[in-house]
Amino acid sequence: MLQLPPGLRRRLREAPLPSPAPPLSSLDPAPPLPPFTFAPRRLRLGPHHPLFEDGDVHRHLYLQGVLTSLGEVAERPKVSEFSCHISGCCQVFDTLEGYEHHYNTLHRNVCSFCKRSFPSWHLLDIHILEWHDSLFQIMAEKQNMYKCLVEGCAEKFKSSKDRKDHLVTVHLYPADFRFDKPKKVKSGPKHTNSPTKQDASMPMDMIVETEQFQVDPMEIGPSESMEIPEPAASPGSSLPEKRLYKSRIPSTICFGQGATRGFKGPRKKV
Amino acid sequence: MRLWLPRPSTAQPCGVQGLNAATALHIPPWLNRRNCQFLPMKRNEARCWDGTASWHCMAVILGMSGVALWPSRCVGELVLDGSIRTLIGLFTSSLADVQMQAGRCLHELSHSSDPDVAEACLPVTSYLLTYLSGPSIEFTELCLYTLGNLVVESEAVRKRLLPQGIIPVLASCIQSPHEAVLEGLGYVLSQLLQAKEAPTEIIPLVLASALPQHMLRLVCSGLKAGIGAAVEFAWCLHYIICSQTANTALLSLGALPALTSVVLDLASEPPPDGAEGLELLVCPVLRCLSNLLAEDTGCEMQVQDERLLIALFLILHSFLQQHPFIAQECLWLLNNLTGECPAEPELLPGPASVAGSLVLTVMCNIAVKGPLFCQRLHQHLVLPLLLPTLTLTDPEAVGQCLELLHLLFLHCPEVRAWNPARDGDDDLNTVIVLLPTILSTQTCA
Repeated sequence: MLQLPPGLRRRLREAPLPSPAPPLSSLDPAPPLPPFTFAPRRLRLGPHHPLFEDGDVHRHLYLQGVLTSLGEVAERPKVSEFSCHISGCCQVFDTLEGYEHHYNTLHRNVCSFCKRSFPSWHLLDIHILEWHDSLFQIMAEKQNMYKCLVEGCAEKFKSSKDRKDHLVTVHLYPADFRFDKPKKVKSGPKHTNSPTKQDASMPMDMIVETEQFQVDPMEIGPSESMEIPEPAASPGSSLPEKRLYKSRIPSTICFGQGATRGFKGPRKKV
Repeated sequence: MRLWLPRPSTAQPCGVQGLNAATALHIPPWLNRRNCQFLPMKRNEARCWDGTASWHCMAVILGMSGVALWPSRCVGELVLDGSIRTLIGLFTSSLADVQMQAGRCLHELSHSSDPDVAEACLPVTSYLLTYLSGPSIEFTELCLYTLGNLVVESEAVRKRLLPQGIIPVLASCIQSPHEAVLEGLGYVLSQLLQAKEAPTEIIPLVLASALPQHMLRLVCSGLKAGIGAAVEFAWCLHYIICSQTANTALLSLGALPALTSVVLDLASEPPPDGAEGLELLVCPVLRCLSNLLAEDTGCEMQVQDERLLIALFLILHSFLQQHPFIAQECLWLLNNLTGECPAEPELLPGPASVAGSLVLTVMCNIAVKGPLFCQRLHQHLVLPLLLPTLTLTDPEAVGQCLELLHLLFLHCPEVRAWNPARDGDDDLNTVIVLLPTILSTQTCA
């Protein structure tokens, strides 16, 4: 194979020179003489053009290669068993990754008022606003305050029920969406911010649907008349009530591997 | 050719705690048929929200593990007996271990090409999107690849995901600092953008979000930050540009100079471990540049930097032996760099232009500029390389060769005196090597 002219790569690193000649494609060519018809043309190719076939196959094989290589992934290293350090949580682990997922799932986005945990900061934020902000309740009597849960939707509603109807009809959410279920309305004192007394609707997390079921451990919080088992605790144990004044777990809590580390399995090098 | 490929996550199988074999448990009939082996599990295990012991949850999940390899009729049975519905319930469990295992199982199911399976997974889409905003990187990655696989197979899933806000959620996730999440996100988006309804229903939503500027950013930083994500987003940009609905918007975001800088970086600093895998990024970037240049936006959109030509030749030379398709695509871009702005943009008709025909087209683009360039072509002994082309059976290549000869005879009288007895063993590949010198504007004067 012939070698390219020397110094080409070096010229890439130099600043672009002001070109003494006009750009190649701006020179005005003479019209072609018949029977010759050539005229320079830029070509636009559609996504299924045959020229793309080899490159598309290569992309396809790359994705397939990922599929194959992932079957050879090794097991995560096991460590001596240890338990979750969060007070009241007795879950036990034998892999660091298992613990990290448990912590992120159950203890990361936790409302310290009522100890309910949520899958995202967004849902926790809405919960705190609607449940533990007394100003919200006052304003909700005068204007639509219940935000749609879907990111990017700016709609607000008068009640959580209206919001749910919107989620189902407009956003095609399931009617039994786990993070938007109202609690049974209980007669009693009006809602306050006390963790022992709760409002009629619990928009973002799942509360007991019937008396027979246990409370969803996603909401590690007390209710009025039931014993609440902790995750991994034996049924029947009750959660000691604690009131914390911080509303969220500090984001600085990590697992010693750096805040920006993601879970990366051994990947096939491409 | 089916190009959408279900793609697994890199999420690892976590330590399964197993089941207490001594405890009687209700096992669904299909589980028995699989003859699953249950491992001993710890006592006093947590319970799911409906009171089911987690070991039972694990039994259900374990029974479905490996479902990606099951015969399709067996997978279909899962749809009929409600197992997928059960699995979705476990996927929303507050028990992290159960949730992760259920997620892996769902991910395996997402590989199924049975449309009934995808439809049975419809109730899980809102949860998949909800969990994308969660803090668990591995779980987020798992959800992304599951979504991407479901999107490939099912228009019903896509129709569900769009009103559920998948585009705004992806636009939030693209700001994640985690390479694994970004790569998974790129995969989902690349599959969405290949849908037949993408030009009318998906791309407008993408353009209305912050996704395009982030995609360009990630493609540009790919060589330094993470090539996996850059590859996925480069393919995303390629699909968007091919739709011909977004090019004005992308040009206004600076796509041309951004992608040009990527090509310059790719050519100037090859990675220490060789160019393996770089073609996955080079290919879509070349396509994006070439199709953007083919836009009828006037000559002011031309790329003036001659370094792009040099970079193209370096890339072409590097990949010619191992990945000849890159050479073809480089030549197409060369044509668009040296071609005129078309009065009416047109698609190249008929079969693919093979590399030789494209080389001839580029040379015609050069020769049509006039005597100076024809003389340079002649000086570099292009003529001996053209004569064998006249004997080919490809009418397109022969026609292009004749056009080039006509231009050379027209502009360069000394060509008429050329002695065809001078012959060589080189082929048109040699011309590729000569083109940079021919095109160099530094020796133009």
